[in-house]
Amino acid sequence: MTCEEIELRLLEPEPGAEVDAHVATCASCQAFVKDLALVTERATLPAPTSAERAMLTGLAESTWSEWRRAQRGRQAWVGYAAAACFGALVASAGFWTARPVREVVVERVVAPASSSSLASNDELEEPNFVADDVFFEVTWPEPLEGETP
Amino acid sequence: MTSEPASDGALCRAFLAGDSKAFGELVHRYQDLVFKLVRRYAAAPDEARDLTQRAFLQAFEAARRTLPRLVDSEGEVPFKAWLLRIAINLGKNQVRDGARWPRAPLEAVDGAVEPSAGAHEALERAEAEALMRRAVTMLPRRQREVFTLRIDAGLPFAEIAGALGISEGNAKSHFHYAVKRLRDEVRVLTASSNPGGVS
Repeated sequence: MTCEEIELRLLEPEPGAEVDAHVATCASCQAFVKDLALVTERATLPAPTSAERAMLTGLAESTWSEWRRAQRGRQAWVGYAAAACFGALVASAGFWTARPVREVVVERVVAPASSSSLASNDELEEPNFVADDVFFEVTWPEPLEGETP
Repeated sequence: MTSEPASDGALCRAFLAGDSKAFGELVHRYQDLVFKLVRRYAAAPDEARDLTQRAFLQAFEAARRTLPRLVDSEGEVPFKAWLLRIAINLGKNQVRDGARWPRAPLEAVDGAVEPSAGAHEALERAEAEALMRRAVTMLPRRQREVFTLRIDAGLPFAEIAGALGISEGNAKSHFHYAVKRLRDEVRVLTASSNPGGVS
């Protein structure tokens, strides 16, 4: 086994006799054993104090309360969002149904350019009759034969 | 006949069905473990408690989102793995967001300081502890996760591997590199904080 393999085996709770025999004769692995002990000792935090342990009392209850509060907040938020969507829907429906319909105003009539069937301009300018020419001749009807007037 | 304790998955399903006792049992089951993990990253004990609570809330939220899919498959609920990963990430974020170093030693408040320890020795010990804390937070992500799960939570490598989704050999390898890196970091930090002194 290489030194690196030995070092990995040294991380196990019981490395074995083979590893022990190697370490006994290898300065590099002996140095790793010391480093491992030093780092582990320095990195290990002191056990939680009584004050720290006391802080965990009631953690489950307070966490449950926080969870419920967050859930209620989420439900309220969903309710507000649903209400807002419904309101927007109603408002848009009202807008489309109540908006005024624009009247179509015909401002001018444009005659088609190729409308030969229509009267010419001269015909339109010259009236069909003159007011002075209009008269009515009222006569009595002729008596019929054998009829006395 | 003693009944076996309910599995995490069974408790998660019960809690999502509205059973507050199941919720409480899960918190009681893992609160010490999570607290040990996050106190390394916290500037004060109350901060560690807040981190612990947030870790549980996020893990339960993960369960709420994921469990409907797992229920159909009857698969195991990796609640503990979620919790551990969340706790480590929260701790790291806490440091990133400006937690102050070193934290006040709680032993002084608690009266747990050994009477024989002089002020100088206590100061040196606190300084060494702070250096090591800083060095651990400077480790690469995976090495830091494996190292804290091993040292702070005291988990075996097999369980660490399961929590992080890596092989056991990989977990050992990360720990091995972390030890070597920490040894070098501590030497550098000690030399820079004590230029003319002996470490």
